[in-house]
Amino acid sequence: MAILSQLSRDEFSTRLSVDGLPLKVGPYIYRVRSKLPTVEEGIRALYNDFEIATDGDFIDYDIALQQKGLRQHIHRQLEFLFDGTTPFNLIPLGQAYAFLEWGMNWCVSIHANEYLKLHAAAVARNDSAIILPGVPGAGKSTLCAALGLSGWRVLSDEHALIEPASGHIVPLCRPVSLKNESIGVIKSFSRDACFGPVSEETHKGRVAHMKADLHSQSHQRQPLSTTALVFPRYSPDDPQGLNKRRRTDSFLLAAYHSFNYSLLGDTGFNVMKNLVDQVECFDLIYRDIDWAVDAMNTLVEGRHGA
Amino acid sequence: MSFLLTDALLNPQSVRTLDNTELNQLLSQARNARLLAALGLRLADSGVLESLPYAVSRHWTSGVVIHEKQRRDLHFECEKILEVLAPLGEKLVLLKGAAYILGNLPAGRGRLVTDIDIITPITSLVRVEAGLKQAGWSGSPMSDYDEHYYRKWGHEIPPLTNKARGTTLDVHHNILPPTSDAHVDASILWENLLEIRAGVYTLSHQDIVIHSATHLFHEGEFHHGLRDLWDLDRMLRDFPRHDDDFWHSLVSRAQSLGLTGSLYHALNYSGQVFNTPIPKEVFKSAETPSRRLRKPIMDFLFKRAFTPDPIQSRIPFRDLALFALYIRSHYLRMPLYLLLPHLIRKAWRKRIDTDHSGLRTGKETG
Amino acid sequence: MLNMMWRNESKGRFYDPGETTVIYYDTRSGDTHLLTAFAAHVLREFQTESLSLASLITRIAPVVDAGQATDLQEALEGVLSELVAMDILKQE
Repeated sequence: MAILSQLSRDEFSTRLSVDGLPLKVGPYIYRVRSKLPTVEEGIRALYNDFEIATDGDFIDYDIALQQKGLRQHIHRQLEFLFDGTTPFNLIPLGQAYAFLEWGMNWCVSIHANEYLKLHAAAVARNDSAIILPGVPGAGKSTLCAALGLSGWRVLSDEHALIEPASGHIVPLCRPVSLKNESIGVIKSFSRDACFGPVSEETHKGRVAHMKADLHSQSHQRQPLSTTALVFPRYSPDDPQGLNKRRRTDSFLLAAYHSFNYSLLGDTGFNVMKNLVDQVECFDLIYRDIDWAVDAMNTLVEGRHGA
Repeated sequence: MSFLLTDALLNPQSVRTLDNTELNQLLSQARNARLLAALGLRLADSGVLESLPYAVSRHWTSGVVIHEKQRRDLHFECEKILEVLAPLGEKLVLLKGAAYILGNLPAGRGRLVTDIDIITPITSLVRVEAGLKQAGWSGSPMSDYDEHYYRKWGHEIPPLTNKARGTTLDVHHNILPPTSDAHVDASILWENLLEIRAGVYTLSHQDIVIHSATHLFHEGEFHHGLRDLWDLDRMLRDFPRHDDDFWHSLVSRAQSLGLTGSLYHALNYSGQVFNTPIPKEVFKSAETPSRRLRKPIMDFLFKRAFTPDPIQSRIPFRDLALFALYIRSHYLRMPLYLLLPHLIRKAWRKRIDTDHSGLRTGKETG
Repeated sequence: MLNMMWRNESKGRFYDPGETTVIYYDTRSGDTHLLTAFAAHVLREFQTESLSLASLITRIAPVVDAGQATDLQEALEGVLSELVAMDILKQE
C-alpha cells in the first residue's frame, strides 16, 4: 500500500502529468491527470495522505484537466476530460482547482447508483455517523469543516452514500469545499486548517478546499451505522437551537435533495424509510460555529435534552 | 469491423477474459455510445455480470438503474398521454425508443431515451397539440425563426414539455420532413399498426425498421450512431423469427415509401458492424448501381461514425467523417437554398448559447 | 356529488411513523408525497375498492370527533380533489 506522500517530488509530478495519478477515494479510484501547476499544488496539499492504487487496478473515474491548443492558452481557458471526452464547456484558468474538485463530485453524482446518494455532508464520532443534509448555502460545509477540526471524522462533504443492503453509510472522504465568508470563519476557527488553491470568481464566488482527512480513521472504508439526521441552517437572526423535527418531512427534504432517490424507485423508498426510521432527526440553527460544534458534541455524548 | 464494445454486445462471454485495462476501455466505450445499460443487461442475462468483481459490475448495474427508471416513467407518461388522446378518438402511436421499450422489443432492452416520440396524422395535429397543451404540456420558449422553421419545414411540431414532470414529447406527423428528396406518404404508415396494449400502438415491424434506418441515415443523428445500429441489429435478428415474410415485405415496403436508400445503408452497416445475418437476395434487392459505386467512400465515413468517442479507440479522421455526414444528411433533408441559411443561423445561435450557459450537461450541485 | 365514484389509480407504499403527516410513495407515477394523516387515512380506504363520497363519509365518520362531523363532507371533498390532482385517485 503506497501513500501519495511517499512519492518523490519528481515521481509525483511525472505521474500526475503523464499517465495520471490513481487515487483511492472512499469506495472509488479516480485517475487524475494534469500538467497545471495549480492542480499539482492542490493535490499535494489536500491528498498527500491518500492511498495510491496499484498499476492495473480498475479505474472508476478517469479525469483530466488540460489546456490544449493556442486558442485555450490565449483565452486562458482549459477543458475537463472524463473518459477522454469533454462533457462541459471550457473553464476559466482561475477556476481550475475548484473545477477539478467539482468534476470529481460530478463523477459520483452522475454515474454511481449502487448507493442511495444524499446531497449531504457526513461526520462521525465514536463510530456513530451523523448525516448533515443541506441545500447550498445552508452552512453544512462550514459545520463539516469545523467538526473535522474538532476531532470528528469527516465521512463526506458532498455525498452521503447509503448502502441499500445494510443501510450503513459508506465513507467518501474528500476535501471540504468552502465558499466566500466561510473560508475566513474556518481560518479563525482553527489554525490547523490546511487549504488548497483559492479559485476566484466561480459562479459561487471565492472557493477554497480544506484538507479533511485529519482523523486517524479518515481512510478506513468500513461502512458505519447512522444515529442522526441533522439539518444545519446558518442564520444570523434566528435563535440558535438543536430542535427535533418530524421524520416524515425529514424524509421528504432529504429525498428531495438526494441525487438518485427517485431514480432508485422502490429501493430508494425502502432505504430512505429504513434510514429515517432508525435515526433521530434535528434542525440545527446556528450563527456561532463554536456553539454549533458543541451542540453536535452533546448529541453524540447523549447530553442533548438531558 | 469490431472493437471491444461490439464484441461484448454480441458475445458477452468474451468479457470474462478481459483485464482491468480492457474493462476500463469497454466501460468508457459503452458509456459514450449510450449502451451502458444495454450491455449491462446482456451481461446480466448471460451470467457474466455476477462473475465480474463488484467494483466493476456496479458501473453496469448503475447504468441499468437509469434504464429501469425511464421504463417506469414511460409507462406512466404513456397513460397520461393516452388520457388526452383517447377522448379525441386518436390512437397513441409510439416511435423510436418509447416504442421499443413499451413494445417489449429486444431493441428496447437497456435502451435509453431522451424524449418520447409519437406520431399523429397531420389532419389531427392541431387538436392533438391543443389537447396536450390543455393537459399541461407546453412548448419551450423558442425564437420565431426556429418556430417558423419547425412549422414550415419540419416533420414534427416544436417539442412539448410537461412542466410538472419535466418530460419532453415530440409529436411527429411524418417520419421525414417534407423538404427531403424522399417524399413519404405518411398516410400508409397507419395501415399496419400493431396494438401493444389498449389504445397504444407502434408502427409495423417493417415500418419500425425503415423509420429507424431513416432516422439514422437521413437525419444526421450520428452521435448515437452505434446505439441506433444496435437497435437495427436487434430488430433484424428478432423480427424474421415472428414473420416468415419479413424480409420480402421489408424491401417492398421500403420501395413503396421511397426509402430503399436508408434501408440499404442500414442492412449494409448492421451487417458490417454487428454481423447481422441478412439474406443475400434482400441486400441485392436494396442495392442500385450508384449505391454500389459510392459504397467504398460511404463505408469510410460511416465506419468512423460508428466508432465510440473515447481516445483509446480513436481512428484518424473521425471528426472529419462526422462533419461530412452531417452535411450529407442535411443535404438529403433540404434543398440547398434552404440548407445554407439554416446552418448559418444555427452556428450563430450556438455561439450565443455557449457564451451564456455554464455547463452543457449535468446538474449543478453543491 | 355524493354518488360520484373515485378509484385508486396508484399503487403505493406508506411510511407512517405516527406523526401528523405520512409519506406516500406512488410506484406508478414515481412521485413521493407528504400527506396529512387524515388524507392518508382516506387513501387507505381506497386500497381495495372504488368508493362513492357517501360511502366514504359512512366509513370515516366513526373515526372523527362528533364536533367535526358536520364539516366532514367538505373536508373529504377537498382531500379527494387533492388526491386527484396528485394523480393518485381518479374520478370514475
